Amino acid sequence: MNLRIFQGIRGKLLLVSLVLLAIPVLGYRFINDMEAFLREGQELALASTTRAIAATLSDRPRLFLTPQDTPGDDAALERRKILALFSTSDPETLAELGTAYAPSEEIERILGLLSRSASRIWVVDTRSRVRGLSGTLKGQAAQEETRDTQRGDWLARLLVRWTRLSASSERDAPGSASQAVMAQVDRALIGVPTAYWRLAHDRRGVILSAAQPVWVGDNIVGAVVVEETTGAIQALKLNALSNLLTITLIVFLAGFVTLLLFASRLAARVRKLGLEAETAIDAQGRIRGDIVASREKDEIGELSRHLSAVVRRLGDYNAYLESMAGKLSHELRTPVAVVRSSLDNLMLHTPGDSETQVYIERANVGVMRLSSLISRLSEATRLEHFLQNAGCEAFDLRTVIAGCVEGYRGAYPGQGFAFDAGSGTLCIEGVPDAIAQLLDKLVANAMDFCAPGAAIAISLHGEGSEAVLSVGNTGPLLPQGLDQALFSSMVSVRPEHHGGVEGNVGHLGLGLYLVRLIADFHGGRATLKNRPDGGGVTAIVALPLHRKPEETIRRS
Amino acid sequence: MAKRVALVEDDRMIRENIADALKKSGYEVSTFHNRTDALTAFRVRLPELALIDIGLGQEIDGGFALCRELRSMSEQLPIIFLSARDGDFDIVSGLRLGADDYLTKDVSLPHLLARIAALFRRIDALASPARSEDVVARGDLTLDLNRLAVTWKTQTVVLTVTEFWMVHALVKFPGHVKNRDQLMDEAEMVVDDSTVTSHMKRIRKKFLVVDDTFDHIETVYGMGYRWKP
Repeated sequence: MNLRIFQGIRGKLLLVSLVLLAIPVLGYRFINDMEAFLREGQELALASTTRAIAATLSDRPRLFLTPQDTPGDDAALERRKILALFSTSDPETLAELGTAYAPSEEIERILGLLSRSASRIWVVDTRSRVRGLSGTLKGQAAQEETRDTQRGDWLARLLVRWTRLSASSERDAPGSASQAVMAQVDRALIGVPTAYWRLAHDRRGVILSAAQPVWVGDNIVGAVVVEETTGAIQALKLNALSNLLTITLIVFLAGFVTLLLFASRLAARVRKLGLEAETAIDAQGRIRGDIVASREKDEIGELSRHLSAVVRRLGDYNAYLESMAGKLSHELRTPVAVVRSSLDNLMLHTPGDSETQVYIERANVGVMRLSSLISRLSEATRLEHFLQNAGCEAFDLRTVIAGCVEGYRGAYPGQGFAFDAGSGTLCIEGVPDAIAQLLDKLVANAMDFCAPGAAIAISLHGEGSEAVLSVGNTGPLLPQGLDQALFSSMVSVRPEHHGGVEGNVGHLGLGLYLVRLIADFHGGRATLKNRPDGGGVTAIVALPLHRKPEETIRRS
Repeated sequence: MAKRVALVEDDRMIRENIADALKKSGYEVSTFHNRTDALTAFRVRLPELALIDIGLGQEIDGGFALCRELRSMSEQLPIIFLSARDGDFDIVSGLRLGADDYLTKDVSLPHLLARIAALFRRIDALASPARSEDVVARGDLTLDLNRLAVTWKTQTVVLTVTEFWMVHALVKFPGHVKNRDQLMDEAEMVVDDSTVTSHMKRIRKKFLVVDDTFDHIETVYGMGYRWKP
């Protein structure tokens, strides 16, 4: 069994629903209790009937006179025949009784008055000869049989096995109840009334027999045995049990289905909330989306509202942090303007004192560096403005990249560039100037870290529905765990002494952040990876291809 | 006669520094630190050139309002905007207030003085007939270097001083590529690359308003810009 099924909310709720199994168990016990009650009732009723019949036959000394003593009776044989008859419900075997059956007319007449439809009455004398016999059990059994088989449903047929009433002694095989019967008759003949449940010979029912002595004065002259079928109880038990089972099944199914639906809904809500939380924050920890607060009043709704508030607060804080650079630069401009204008005034109109000029020069250089730094701090904000206000157009990426590479070759003659572009057009939608800027940043970075003498490898290919641009350089590898963080603003792993293109102007770690901004704007993504051969680092930018290349491609 | 320049700037130190530089260059300067004072003075007597800071005290866009009122008083008056915020350039351009240029506050004073001088030259040039040796013609384009006037297919294109100098840099040698540093030099400013890109974008837009098939300014990716002859 797959244990994972039970780890979800649905599985757990279903396991809990097994508690419902208590219902049929309790019901079955109740039915058993009811059966015991009914058995007792039937026993008592039969015992009192037997007593009544015995009372009717008592104190009539002439009833039990034997017409003649048959000599040489085989008492044992007689007894066996009687007992055999006892075991059956078939009165046709009366013939087998032979001399054991010596009916007294008087007894039979009385019995005829007392007979009942569902029972058989024996009157036996002290020599165990049957003096009277009335009634039959067969009809009842047949009735019950037909009724049983008429319950065509499978449930009843299944349950018939379970609803057998238990016999007084389960070890007796049917038909071999002889010992017990003998004992019952013997006991009655010495004056002890008994009741006994025995299995019918065809195993189809249980027969209840009650025995009573017949007194004449202080002497026992015979015994009365009344037998009755117990089909009524059996039928009742069968009915009750099958009803119980049916109801239990229905309740189970209904409970099962309801719980399943409820659990499914619960699991779906929780999963949806989890998914929203997951997508609200992207791989770099920026807040991408919002969680819609649910209006439900239960715990999950509350959780959703809490999460929504948390995400919103995080987003606000993130926005504040990101805008801080821009705000800082704005604030810094004014003092920088003051310093610069003061220096300008000094430079314009001071007498040419070389010493003062030197200091003014240095101050000016410092201010220019400061100004440039401020400018780059707000570069991200300006880039965002620029991207928002620039019109998107469809253009051929290859042309732009190829043009840029040409430009780099001209601008940096000491650095080698290997360009692998393939052929054909790779049409994307966006802002060409921004893509050029993105490549500028990546190349600047690559040049800073490139080992001397090695070439920078730039390649551009279409892969599926994306255009993949990669810029690789030989040189030191990325530090572990930082490859995503490098795309965040202000994170830089540049060793202090590295000069490179940024040179003396100072380094803010903004280059890759801008790369990510531009890639995101175009619906793509940027990653940094160590080269598989461990020789260097490759920056990879994947951009989605424009789906309708037949639009006019404007190159401006 | 010294030219009269009005300076509206709320930060005291910047205001006085600029005023000093202007005075030392021979201009007569009147300074104001809020909009109302400036307006009151302008209603009495208009200056010959106005330098206006956009954020004036409590009013974030006080400068725009002042410009509008000044323009309603004089169509020809040269107005230069100063601003601490980068985003203002697009706003100013979009508002079409008729400013002649816009600069960030930390512009170097020599660059500022160059622009003021050019604008005063223009006023003088407009008063006298056009001199052909100061006109550059390239196909459908004409540039009058004194009047700082541009026409495309005989229609006037209104450019700021900065934009004019950039276009001039391109068309001086048509077909040659100018990179952003060179354009910055010619336009007398020191800014970063994306600001140059923004200026070029705005220039293209202005030409497109006049002629929607205009595409003579070509971006050469990785290198710069070029005027297509």
